[in-house]
Amino acid sequence: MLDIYHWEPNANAGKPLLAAMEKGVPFESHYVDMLAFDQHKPEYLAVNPAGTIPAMVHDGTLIFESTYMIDYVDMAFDGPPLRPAEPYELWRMRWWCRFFDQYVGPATSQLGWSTFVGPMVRQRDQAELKAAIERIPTAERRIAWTKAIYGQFSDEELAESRARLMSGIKAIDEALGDHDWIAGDHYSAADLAGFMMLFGLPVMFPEAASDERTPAFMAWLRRVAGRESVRGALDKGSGRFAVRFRELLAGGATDA
Amino acid sequence: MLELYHWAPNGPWLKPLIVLAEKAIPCTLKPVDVLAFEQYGPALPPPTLETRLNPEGEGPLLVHDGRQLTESFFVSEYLDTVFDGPALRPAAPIAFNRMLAWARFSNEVFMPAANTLGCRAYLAPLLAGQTPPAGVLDGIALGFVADGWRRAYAGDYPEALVAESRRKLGMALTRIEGMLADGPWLLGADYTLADIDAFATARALPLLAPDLAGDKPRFAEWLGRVEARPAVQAALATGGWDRPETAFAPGPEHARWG
Repeated sequence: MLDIYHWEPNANAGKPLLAAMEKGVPFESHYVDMLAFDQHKPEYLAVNPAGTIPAMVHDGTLIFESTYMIDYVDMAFDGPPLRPAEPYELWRMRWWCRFFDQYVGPATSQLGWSTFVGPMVRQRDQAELKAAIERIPTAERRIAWTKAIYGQFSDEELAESRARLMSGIKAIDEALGDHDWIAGDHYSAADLAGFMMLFGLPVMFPEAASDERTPAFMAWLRRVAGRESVRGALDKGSGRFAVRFRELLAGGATDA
Repeated sequence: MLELYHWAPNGPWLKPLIVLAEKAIPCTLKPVDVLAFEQYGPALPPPTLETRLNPEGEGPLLVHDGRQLTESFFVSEYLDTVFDGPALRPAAPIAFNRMLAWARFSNEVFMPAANTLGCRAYLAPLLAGQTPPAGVLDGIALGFVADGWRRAYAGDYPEALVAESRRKLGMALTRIEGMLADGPWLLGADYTLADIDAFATARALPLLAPDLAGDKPRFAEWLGRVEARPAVQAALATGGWDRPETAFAPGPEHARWG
């Protein structure tokens, strides 16, 4: 039995959902409301003591790290491959997953949190927010949430994130210049993970990602967005993020 | 044709050297003087996108039939995938997941922390009073790598950065000690790339943080167990370095967010 605990099909939470759907693996979907801090409540901490979303549990065993949940699904179940068989393409998949996770991902997430998540959460009752922060089990996540909730990102930090996205999306655009998918000729975990991390950028930060500036990147986003599994994964959320896909598929998406 | 461009057998450079030795893979070794910035010059083939933007910072470059591969853990995985010899990746999906999760923790927490303290203790004193060759640092594509060099030249390691690095080393030691509860190796019964990855960074810990490493008995035994392997001995002897565990150059950045 495969259980996936997720918020909206976006960023990390979208990766295991999309992996299971692409692979054709049946799973139980558990929606965790991140903005209500459900991920820090005892029921959820019993599933994932780190209090992070997503979580994947297979026959009672917790699977770690959203990017590597894709590998796990690919290894543990039958279905179309999510990793290239050719070792150099497999290496490219790994390299770019790391680039997404450590270079462009954190920058995207910081912009997203400062623009959307922080303001949405900030309207809550102050005492309730304070208690919610105190329940967060790890120091790293307590710092991250405190910054987001109280809008404590410095101008310097946000400028660095924007600069990384300007150069990082260009690099992805360059990498896609001579093949359709991130790893090469085959759709893989790198497309799945990169898409989930970055599909909101043309709307959120069009200065970095647009048809004019990064055409190969935009064409790749649309290729991934057109897959049946991606459309299916969208239905697992509240619809809040589906709007971004519709704009993307329409081909425009330069108006925030 | 297989070529490995490498520096001292420590940290990221040590990992593929151990894998080559464990699997007895024939490979042309190409020593690079990282402190002379040879890695940015004509001694190496013109860099590809992935070589230029290697998130590991300074590290090895593998060239296989003209294709360039960077990032020491993934280079190690590649070598294990392509070549015969004893398997260093677990076959079971859950163990494989634990190995990859270790690699990510290593990249984002363990390596940056050890690298900061290692550059502070051993690289900065070597560079004290010197200035970098003109233009070299400005030509480095990733800002945090150039900043790491500038920090080392200036000997600028604020107390907060040192404390944060020590906190992360403590976390890593606790994690390793916990993983060793179930067997002689990090993933249990089998020696894997997780051990090779962890050892390459951990070897310097008794020097960098003796107080933190000192009360971890399983860690100390495991360190000795890895070091005693003939392949590891052979890798450590590469280039005849005296105390290779003190060779540091700017590595991966501390996670910026989340």
